[in-house]
Amino acid sequence: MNFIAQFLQRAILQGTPLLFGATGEIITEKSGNLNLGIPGIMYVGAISGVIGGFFYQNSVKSVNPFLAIMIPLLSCLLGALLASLIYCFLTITLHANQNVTGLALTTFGVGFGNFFGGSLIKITKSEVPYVALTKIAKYYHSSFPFAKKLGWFGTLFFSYGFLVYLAVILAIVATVLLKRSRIGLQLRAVGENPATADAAGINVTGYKYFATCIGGMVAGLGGLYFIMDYSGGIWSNNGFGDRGWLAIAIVIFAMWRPNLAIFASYLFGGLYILFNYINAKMQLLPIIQMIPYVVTILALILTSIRKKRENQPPASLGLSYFREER
Amino acid sequence: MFKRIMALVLAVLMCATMTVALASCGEDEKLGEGAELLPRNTVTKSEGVTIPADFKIGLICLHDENSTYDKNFIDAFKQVMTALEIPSDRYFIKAGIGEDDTCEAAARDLAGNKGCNIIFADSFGHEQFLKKVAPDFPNVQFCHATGTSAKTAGIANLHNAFASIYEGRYCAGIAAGMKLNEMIKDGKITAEQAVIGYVGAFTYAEVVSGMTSFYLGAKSVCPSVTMKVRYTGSWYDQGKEQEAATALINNDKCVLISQHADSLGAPTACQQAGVPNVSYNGSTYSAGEDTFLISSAINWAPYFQYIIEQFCKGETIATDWCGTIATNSVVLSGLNLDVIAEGTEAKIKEAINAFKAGTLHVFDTSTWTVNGQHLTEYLADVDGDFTGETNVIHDGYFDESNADSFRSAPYFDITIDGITNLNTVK
Repeated sequence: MNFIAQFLQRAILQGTPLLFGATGEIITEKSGNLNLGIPGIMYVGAISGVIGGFFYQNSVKSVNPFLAIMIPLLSCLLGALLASLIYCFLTITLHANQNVTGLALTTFGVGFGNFFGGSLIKITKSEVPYVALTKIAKYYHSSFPFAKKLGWFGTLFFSYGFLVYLAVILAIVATVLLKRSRIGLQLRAVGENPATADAAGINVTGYKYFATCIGGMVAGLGGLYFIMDYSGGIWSNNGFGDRGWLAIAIVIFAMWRPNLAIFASYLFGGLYILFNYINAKMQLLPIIQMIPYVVTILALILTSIRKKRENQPPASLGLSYFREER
Repeated sequence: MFKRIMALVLAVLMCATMTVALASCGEDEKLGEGAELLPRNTVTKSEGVTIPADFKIGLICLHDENSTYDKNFIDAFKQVMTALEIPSDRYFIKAGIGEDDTCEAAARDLAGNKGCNIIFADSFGHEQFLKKVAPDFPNVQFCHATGTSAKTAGIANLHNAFASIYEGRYCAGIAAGMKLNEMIKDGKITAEQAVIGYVGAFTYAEVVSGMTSFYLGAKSVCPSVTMKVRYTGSWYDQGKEQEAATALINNDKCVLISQHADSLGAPTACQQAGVPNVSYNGSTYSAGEDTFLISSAINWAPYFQYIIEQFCKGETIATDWCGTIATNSVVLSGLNLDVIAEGTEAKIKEAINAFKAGTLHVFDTSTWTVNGQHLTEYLADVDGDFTGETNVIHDGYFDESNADSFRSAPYFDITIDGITNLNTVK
């Protein structure tokens, strides 16, 4: 039982940044914006949190737990918000191509993260190129003190930092909001048919801006989680890897439903670490790590064949809205 | 609805803050990291060497200085440039050069356009491109780290270099073995539970040689130690390395971890699990103040100085060159004084002195077996064709990285008793 609990625990830890990214992307896509800049925004969120945390950690002798959490958190949200606003301004206000803008934003975000990450590394004069925010990261990593006493149950449910729970809460809240609230209904209307929504008096531009910015900020938290919780406060350039793309794959796999994204993220997280638990030969690693993407392709094929309306992406996804074209 | 959500999010944040606030009390003063056991020496220009005013040198790096591997080269390179008073307009660093034809283009640019007298490339995969370029520029010296074919290629201006890092690994292994002894003595583990976990990148001889020397160092002070190895199939992947280390700790019951991969994945896993860690490529003390023990690394400054001064004196550069502890090519960080076992420093210094005196051989065949047998002969792949052809065991030890007789790049690729590979076919 312990073995399974430990595997699932690691799968959840691996899946959490994916869940933040997927939830953020689903919220964004529901407004009709295909934001392929999410991987970049996650990088920007991560490095923004690191910058905030770095200057706080280095400016005080003893760290205040509240500020240790709030400064990186707010820095991350601000960084992700600004990155999202770039995307919004280009695609919504200037009607630029969403795919190109998103891909450019990802390239920009990764470069932005590595540039400022590299700058911080230079300041630390570390022999090995990394930034260690271990003093503040331990507050992100703190779990319930009674987790260890509960055996496998504690390992599975109570051994995480608060961002892991926040990721689940945000996914559930997003599900409820999208399905059962007026805001969600109007947002979906904007994503399905912005012209009709506009005719019904819904502020299309406002909703697109709002959803893309909120989605970007949620995704940015995935980057922050990876550095401050999973990596124990260690920033290394390119350490976040290609998790942003996995998050976008999960959006398709979960058929644009945040609640399904919880399961999908943990599944992808589990597949990512599976090779350690089945002692797969190293030569099989690439095949095992290919599984999430193969599953995503299969999900795409199946949903395309079945053509169930509720499993389709928003109808106007990826299209700019020109009011004059109505 | 929005207010309710905000209230929920704020409540979660407040709970988290309260929980962690309780954990923040009572931090003890730490002794920190001690002085480096084998420090990087200050580089000083050798007597009688004059660097010509038109001398130029180029460095080709796989990544930039934000990569653990490449930073080690770049820092040493700059250190030597400063010491030899070579101004910044006469040395060139080409970073982010892949192991593809961009390497050939970079080498041609440095040799042809920039007018470099020496070109150094830092990654194994660069070698094949240097081999293509070197014959076209016979007056330019092409030097290459970790390469295997300078001796067999028949190109006079192509050179290989490495360092006997296995000696540094052995010393780091002593720190691990001493820590295990302390854990056994304190009753935390039994002698049989002294299991080390090792995160390796690939099954290459470079990794196998490093981990075996580390294991033999630990075994020299803790005879009951065994080691389990997990490979990640990547030189740099934070997630995979961290997960491999975590699996070694949680499932394979390893009580101490070391690694040969470039990210901070394994040290982070150790810090989070409270398991001692022996690091590589430089000190990672600040990433694991409660778990870091020691780290070993190759110092490339002696080789950079050697090739420049040989060139400037008009003397030939060795076709293959292997730095040692004696040449300051192998360095050791300080010990984490809060974590190491008593007597560690003395034991390591004893080994260092023995290496310098030539009385200690890491791969002494009397200290390890393969399937219960002590080896008296082993045909290693020295010429880089992936087939063993040269006996490298003589005088009772496996003669690793002997640049004069064999080659500098490691060729120890044997899985010895006591080491279990968990995810390879070997």
